[in-house]
Amino acid sequence: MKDELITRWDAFLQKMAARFEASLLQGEQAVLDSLEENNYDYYASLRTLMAIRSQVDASLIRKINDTWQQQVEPLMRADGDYWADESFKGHQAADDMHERMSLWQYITEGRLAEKYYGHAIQLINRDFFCTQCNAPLQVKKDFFMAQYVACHYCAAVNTFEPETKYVTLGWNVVDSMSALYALQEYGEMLKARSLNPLAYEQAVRKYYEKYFDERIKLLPHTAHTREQDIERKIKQTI
Amino acid sequence: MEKINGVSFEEYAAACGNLAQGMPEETLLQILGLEKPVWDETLDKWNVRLGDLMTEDMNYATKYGELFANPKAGRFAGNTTAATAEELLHLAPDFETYQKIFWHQSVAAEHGVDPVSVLESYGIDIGKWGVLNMHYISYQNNLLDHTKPDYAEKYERFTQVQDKWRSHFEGHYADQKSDLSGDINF
Repeated sequence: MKDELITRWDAFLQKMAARFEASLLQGEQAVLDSLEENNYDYYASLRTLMAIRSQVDASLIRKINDTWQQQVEPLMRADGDYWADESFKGHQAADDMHERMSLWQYITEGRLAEKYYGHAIQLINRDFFCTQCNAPLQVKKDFFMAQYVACHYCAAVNTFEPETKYVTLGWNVVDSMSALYALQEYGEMLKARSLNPLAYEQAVRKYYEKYFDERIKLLPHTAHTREQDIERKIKQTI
Repeated sequence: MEKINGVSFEEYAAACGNLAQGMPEETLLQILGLEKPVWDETLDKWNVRLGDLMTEDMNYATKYGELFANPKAGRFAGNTTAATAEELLHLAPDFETYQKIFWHQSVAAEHGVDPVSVLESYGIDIGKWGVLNMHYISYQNNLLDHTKPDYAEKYERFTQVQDKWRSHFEGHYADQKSDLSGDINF
């Protein structure tokens, strides 16, 4: 009975792990596709992402714990004293999935942001004209806020107010992209959590240095606060 | 007092609260006497600065939350259209109604439904929800005072209300949920 129960439990966990990976893969595609379906509503796509995460959690991760408690544990307890090791397997599988899903969210948010950026950045690729002399204006293209633009011909100061989809780029979108581009450093930071405090602090610093360097490429006007931003994030993290 | 483009921390928090409660941005710009590019810069800089302040002292998060919910500071003192908790209580007159709305938007969000549109179906915008939240969190903290002799009874009642509305809305959205592992069994 023992071998049979362990084999069934192992097979169940393997199938759940395979389905989990397949679901994350399909989930990422669904999130990216949702941008076309909702006419590039970034926040609606983020909600899709969170809904997928919630469904994976409810119907895969929680099912492992439920199945253990309701079916496997009673049978194994009645059969012998080996249930504790098997319980550990289930908990380990669920913990691994939680960690994997957090990483999936991190990456998928980045890829969603990248796709949105590719679309929304085009919104400013057209001509804007001076309200006084109608000459073309040179609008800063990586400044996702309202801005004053001086006309090179008549010197009138125009107020340029970008549309909402473009403004959105300057908020979570650039942050998620920067995080994606610092993925390697992020992984190293996670691994360093189990090391000594100094090694962890160094890994956190490396991550935020990379993160803010990537962010500055997208938001050049934030370069002057680089050191301050890095120190703040390190302080918040450690 | 620290200011960015003439805007204090209190005014910044109140501005955010007023915007969330539906104050048109043009009105806000008039009250602060700023043009849009200056306001955008102010908002951006205060958002960063708030991060710094909260790292130093978490009380700033509480202070921000209070001002956001009751945005009547500085130049907004006599100029706000924001309502107080008392003025909004008709939207959620008791704790049970608050829990119903709370679980509705929370479970809806888990199913990919916009929680803001759920709040709107109750006549509540995000700003008003912030005010009601502050009110009922305070109520909840008083209700669940573990030093009181009837704590156990109140805790049980609180849990029952939570479970009731969570189950209700999980049932409501059940058909929008896909079972990703219905074919996998032990």
